[in-house]
Amino acid sequence: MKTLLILIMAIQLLLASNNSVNTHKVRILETIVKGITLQEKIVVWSDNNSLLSVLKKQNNIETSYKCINSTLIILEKNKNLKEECLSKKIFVLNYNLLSTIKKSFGALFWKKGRPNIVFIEPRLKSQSISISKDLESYLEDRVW
Amino acid sequence: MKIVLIILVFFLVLSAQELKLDNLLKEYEDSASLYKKTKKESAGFLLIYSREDIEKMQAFSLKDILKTVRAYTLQTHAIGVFKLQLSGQGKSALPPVKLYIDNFEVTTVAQGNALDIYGDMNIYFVDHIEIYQGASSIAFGNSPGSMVIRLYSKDPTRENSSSVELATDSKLSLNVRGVHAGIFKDYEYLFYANAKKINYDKYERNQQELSRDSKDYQAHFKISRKDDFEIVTDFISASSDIFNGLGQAPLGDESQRDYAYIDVRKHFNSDITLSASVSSERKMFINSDAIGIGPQKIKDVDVDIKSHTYKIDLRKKIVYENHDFLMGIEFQQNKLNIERYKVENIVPIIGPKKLDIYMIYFEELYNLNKDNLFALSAKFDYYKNSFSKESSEYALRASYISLFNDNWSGKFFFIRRYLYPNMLQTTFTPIVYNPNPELNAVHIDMALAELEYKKDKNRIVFGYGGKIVKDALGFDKIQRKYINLEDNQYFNRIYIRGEHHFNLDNKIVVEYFKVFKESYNSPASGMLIQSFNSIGKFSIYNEFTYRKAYDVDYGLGYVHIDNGYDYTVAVSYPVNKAMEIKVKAENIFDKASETLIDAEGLVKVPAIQRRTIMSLEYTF
Repeated sequence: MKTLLILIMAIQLLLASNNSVNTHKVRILETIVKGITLQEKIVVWSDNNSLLSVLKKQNNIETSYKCINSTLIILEKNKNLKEECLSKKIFVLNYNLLSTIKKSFGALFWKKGRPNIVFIEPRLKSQSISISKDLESYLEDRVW
Repeated sequence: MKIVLIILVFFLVLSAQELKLDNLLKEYEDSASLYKKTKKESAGFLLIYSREDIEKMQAFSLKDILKTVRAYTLQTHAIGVFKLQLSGQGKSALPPVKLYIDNFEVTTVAQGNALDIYGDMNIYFVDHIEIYQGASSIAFGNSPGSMVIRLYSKDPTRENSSSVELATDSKLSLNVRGVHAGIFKDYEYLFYANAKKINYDKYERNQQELSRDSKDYQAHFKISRKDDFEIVTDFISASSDIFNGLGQAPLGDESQRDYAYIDVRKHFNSDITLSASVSSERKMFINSDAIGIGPQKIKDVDVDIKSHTYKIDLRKKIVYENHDFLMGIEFQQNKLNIERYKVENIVPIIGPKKLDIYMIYFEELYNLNKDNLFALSAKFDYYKNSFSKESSEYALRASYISLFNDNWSGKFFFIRRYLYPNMLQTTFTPIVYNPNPELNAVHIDMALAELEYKKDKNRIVFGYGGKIVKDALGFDKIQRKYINLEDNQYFNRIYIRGEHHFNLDNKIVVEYFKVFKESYNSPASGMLIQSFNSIGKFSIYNEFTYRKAYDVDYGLGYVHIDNGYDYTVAVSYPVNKAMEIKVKAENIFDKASETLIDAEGLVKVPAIQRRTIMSLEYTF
């Protein structure tokens, strides 16, 4: 039993750094989602299962385990985007996906060793998505 | 007035919200820093230069980092290259500094150590640097060194960009470097290239100009697939004017050092790794002297040496309950070829040209509980050279790391290790001294302790290291060769380091070290003060390095070298998201620690010369 406890503690210690990374990422995404207004109620789905689990656990924003029941997708990989969900609003976790998925309106991504946020203004307007004032400093007029 | 106040409050609230998200991004960046994944606390006394540190320092080359490392002093070699001098060591000693670029250990056969080639390498492709002092892990590779420098290249998944930087300085030097990294399907790749021409102050000796101007080129390519494989290849060519050379009145000429390697790694089931590498190096050296070199008064030296190193390593990691066990085997072969040796009528003395090393190693990390870790390492090596000289050596290490309470922690290491002679000492070296094929390994016993106190935003570290060196290598001036000394050598050193982190962007570091040893020849103590700051969009870095005065004897009696004070400032400003302007002033007071070049004491040269560097970086 003692060994089991030590093992659990060791695993917790190992996971601690990764959790810390995820926690920060989740806090940023929560802040972004709260700053977005859609015409319908925001329900989030993500193809990143661990991210979705943490978002659900935090319970600060509404989430769904099914893409079809969501209104906002946080997408990490293009191959995970199902055809029946193409009509949803899409926020991506990779800058290149902004070019691949023409309707994706924003991204949280790593570039030059730093995390960045960007919203593409024309795409927000065309999809009637509004963002709060505190997100406006991340607006860009096009994908570079 | 009321409206003005409302507007003011509105903007204050607005900026506070923006700040909040920016702060979250900053915290995310900090928590995800790569060094937090790669650092190995159990491997020794650890110094970390994070990516943000390196960027704020505007550390162009590795030597910009090395000059701040405690217990070492950056010096200039008489042939124009940089060398790191360990405090307390004699001037002819070859410091056993080991250099890793990612997982590849740069093994040199024709040089004193890897820094002769890579010491002035640009580190634009490097994410962070870890320096382990005193008690490097056996798992790091063969013949554990007194200091292990690990460079980790940028992670392509976090780069996703191309950057180019152009720099020039007050000596009209030019430095161009670029890095391109990203992801293609499942593959991560990084490509880096650098070309630079660095000009230095000129000196004069015996009516001859001493120049150490250099030209360097480097290319580095890495491709990998997560948990599957990694291939890294690198080529560097460094040439420099001969400076003083080996004599007293150099007539120009130059030395050139080329190094290339390819390192392939395959991971099986995430716990078995097979790696193989081939490296090739070339050292060309042309030195003509008006007076003559050495007692034979040789006027012209023209030498071209080539060497190859082959390595293959298989290691397995077993994680079982609270045990973390590593075992591995490695084979290494070093070969040296003398392509050209034109030294008037002298026939060179050449020792064994081939050395085979067979290694087996084990390392066990045992987590007694979440606050206490024991580590035991053992390594057994068998050496055989082409003169049939055989030698069996071993290295042992025991360490204990403990978190005593929320504020105090400690690291304790007990080590028995050895240091095998360099092929420069056993096989071949041009003129200055003779090789000694009969040299035996140096045996070292060490005890080290480090205590750390952490509270809120403060961190204080006290360190002590003591070692006894048996069969130490010393230079015999009569026989003009390295020999094993009969008397034991004793080294003791202490250091204290304090850090205060104002916030994620601002911190100050103060450090002091002292070495206790009878005979010096290099600074016995030193100090470092660094401040890393961000004010608005400006990044500001201040650095003050002190090295104590020392006396050195090159054969005509002791010459005094004054205290060295190097004050360096670096400021950068991002013009927009793509462009950044940087300015750096090095050795502002022109008082950095100097190296004696001649026995008469007339030529004293700082490794870091006074200069201002301006650079412009553009990211696509």
